[in-house]
Amino acid sequence: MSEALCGPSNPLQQFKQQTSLDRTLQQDRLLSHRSPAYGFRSPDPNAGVLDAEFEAFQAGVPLSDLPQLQSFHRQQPDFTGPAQTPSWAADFQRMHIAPPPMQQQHLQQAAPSTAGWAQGFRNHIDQYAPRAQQSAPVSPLAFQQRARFGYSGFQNDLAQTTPFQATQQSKGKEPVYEQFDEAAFERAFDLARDDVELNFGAESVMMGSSQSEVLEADDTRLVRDETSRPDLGRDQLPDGLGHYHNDVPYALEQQDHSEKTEQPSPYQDDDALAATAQELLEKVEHNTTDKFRNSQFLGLMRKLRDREMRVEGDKMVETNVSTGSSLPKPPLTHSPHDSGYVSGSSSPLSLDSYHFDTHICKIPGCDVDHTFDHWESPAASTASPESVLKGTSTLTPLFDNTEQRPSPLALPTASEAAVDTRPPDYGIPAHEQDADPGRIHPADGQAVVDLLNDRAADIGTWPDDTLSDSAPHSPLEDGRPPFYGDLRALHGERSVNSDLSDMLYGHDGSLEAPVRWVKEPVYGSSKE
Amino acid sequence: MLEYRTAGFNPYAVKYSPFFDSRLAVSAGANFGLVGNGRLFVLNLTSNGIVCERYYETQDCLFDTAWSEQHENQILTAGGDGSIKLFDVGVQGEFPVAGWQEHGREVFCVHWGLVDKSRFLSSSWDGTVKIWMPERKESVMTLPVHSCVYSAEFSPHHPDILTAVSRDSHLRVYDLRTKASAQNHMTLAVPIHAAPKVQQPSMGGLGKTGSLGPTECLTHDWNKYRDSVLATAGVDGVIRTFDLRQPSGPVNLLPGHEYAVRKVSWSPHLSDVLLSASYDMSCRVWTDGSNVDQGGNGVGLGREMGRMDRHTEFAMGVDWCLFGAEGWCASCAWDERVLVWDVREFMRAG
Repeated sequence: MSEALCGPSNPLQQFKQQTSLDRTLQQDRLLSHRSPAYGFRSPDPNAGVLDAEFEAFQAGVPLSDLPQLQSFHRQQPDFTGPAQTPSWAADFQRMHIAPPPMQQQHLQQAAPSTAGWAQGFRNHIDQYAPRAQQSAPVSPLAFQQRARFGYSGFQNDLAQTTPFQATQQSKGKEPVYEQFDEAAFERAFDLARDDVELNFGAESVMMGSSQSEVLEADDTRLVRDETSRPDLGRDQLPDGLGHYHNDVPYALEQQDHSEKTEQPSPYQDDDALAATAQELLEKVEHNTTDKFRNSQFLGLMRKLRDREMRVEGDKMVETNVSTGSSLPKPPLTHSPHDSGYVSGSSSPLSLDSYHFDTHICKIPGCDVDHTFDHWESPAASTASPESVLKGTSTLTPLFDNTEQRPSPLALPTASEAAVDTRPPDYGIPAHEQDADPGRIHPADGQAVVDLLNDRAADIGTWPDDTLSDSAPHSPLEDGRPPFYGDLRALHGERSVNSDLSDMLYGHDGSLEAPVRWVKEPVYGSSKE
Repeated sequence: MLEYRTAGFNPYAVKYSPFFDSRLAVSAGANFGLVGNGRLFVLNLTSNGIVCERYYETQDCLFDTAWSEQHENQILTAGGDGSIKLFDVGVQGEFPVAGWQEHGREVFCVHWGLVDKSRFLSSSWDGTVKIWMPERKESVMTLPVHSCVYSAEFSPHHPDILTAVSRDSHLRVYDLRTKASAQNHMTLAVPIHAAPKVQQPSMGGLGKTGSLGPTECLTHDWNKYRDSVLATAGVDGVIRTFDLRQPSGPVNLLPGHEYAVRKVSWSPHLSDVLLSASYDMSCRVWTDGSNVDQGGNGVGLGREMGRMDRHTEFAMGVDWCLFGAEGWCASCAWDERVLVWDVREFMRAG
């Protein structure tokens, strides 16, 4: 619920939650054949079926060879239609992981949908271009929320409801759920099945490797896997599935994409980010003060809007518009091999539980695990331990615009008073200046230096009267300042010190009193 | 005015140490916190200006930080990856001494209990406030808010009372002594956008109700002297003060900031003075008009007392110095600068 309220829900984040759930119990049950009714007041009649079926599936035994299970099949309403093929996909369908009513319910839960939400989705399909949102007032923070998570595609626009609408929905009447279009669902299933049959050879390898995923997959996950086949275009989806698909964790798509070499998603991401940047800029465009015109952050926003910059993984990179290719190249799935980012020392990452597909780079000779490179969302960055810190963005200043603007170190007043307004003939002309190089002798003042060095050597043994003269407000009881005290007195007051001591040791008067700049030596003002 | 440059990192929060008068912590993120690493700076005020004593790198941006009230060397950070980390300045090395990962989204606020100093809290975009003890690996308690919680704080007057403000424009008060019922310890939910009891003449463009309707509330702070008074501020740029004895709406409105207010902080020295940092790149000092000496008689109209315009990007954090002079404070902004300054320098007559 809060996900929907808090701006764009991040599908990757949700997916991460799924994977990071403690599934030990579940797996325990699968492996050890414990009684399914154990611990539950109302035992699930289907629970026992699964285990045997799964075992059979895992062993490669066709399901029809398990005669004792057939009776269960007939009891169940068959929602997937008759299975025509002996493919593994059909096996999946015949496995009664959940009866259809539950399926339907789960769909509704998975999508925090209302009728308005569905409408929004259709609208979005119609006008795919990024659009301004008419939701809650845009704050820079809201922008940031979207920016941090906005580049995962168009889902965000839909998730973006104002909190007040959402509250009304939850408090008011029951949300109107879309009627589940069973026919459309089956159509999509058929499509998916055909698709699966075509790619059977290749896919089965994949499934083998991610079998453990399938183990823990609940009913919907199976459907998701099939409906998110890349070949099944998003726009071909019937409505009932379309909603559904929209809520599929993006990561599942990532799973598919990681096998291909390019992803369509970054373009959508850029669109979303550019749209939000645009929105923010519109918000401040009436403000023409110097500060806002020179703002580095707003400059970055402009660049994001104009697509001169985009987010790539954990970095912000300039898109090279100047190279002439106005259309950006297909983004690399891999980071450059010499990027130095994570790739070099990926051992902690490959051990990471989040990276279930251990993708190995297909470039010959490169056996580096690039898994991390595929996780372009910040969610991925949560996965990695502290040890990957070094060398990401901190080493290279990402948009160091220090050349374009005055150094922030300089005080505003100081940077303004830099114009030389003196007349050209100001001062003594160079040829008239007395140049007497012999006048300065290297040995000049050496005596003073010697004397000072001499004094510094036995500075602790100065006569008492000298000390008390130089440090008139000695803070110590015996009138003898500490060792550092006399040095400070000799060097005279320091402006920084006066502020600081004022802060640390107090000043006179209340907050309403005017500032009285301290002119006495350091410890003088506060001890009265 | 002292200055420190957090090169390459855009600060999000600055906090004075409650133990040392010269120690500051600044949490920051690269790329304005959009992507990239975070860094925690531990700064020291020395006679040579501000010097970085330690810094710690983190995987994701650090949105907030809080000094431990128990241990003078320990600092909490709130991470963009949902993690909370505890660093110890006294321990060598670049890693935290403890860490907690329970929040599902960005942790946006951490705050150490001021009365019961064995606990701290965190609030997150995942819509929860969690209460922790540094010795435990899991959170002690989770308070669902069901809306992005931008800021949560323990009361400085009572160990079991805490407040949270969230995206849905409500100030929620939790009393941990109550039963864990359906209310989840929530005892009060004050609508921040409600019309104030007393109409104020200087409402400007805010209309009769003094409100443009509900907007996200980004920050709040407990008054350190008056135990039922809080201030909130948010996207509409208006700072509101509330008295929990009168929970129907705000007591006082302080309009002036042009854009959203990111942080408010009551003075530790004066009961009527507060400081704010805003996206309009300014930090401002306010009085809520309650100063008895100035005829406020406990109520009255607030006003802006001064503003500091030195920051050149969005001002993100302010904090008062607890020690010494009562006007000293620190502010940080996305211009990669931390400024330590005296508000009296920027005070206007009137």
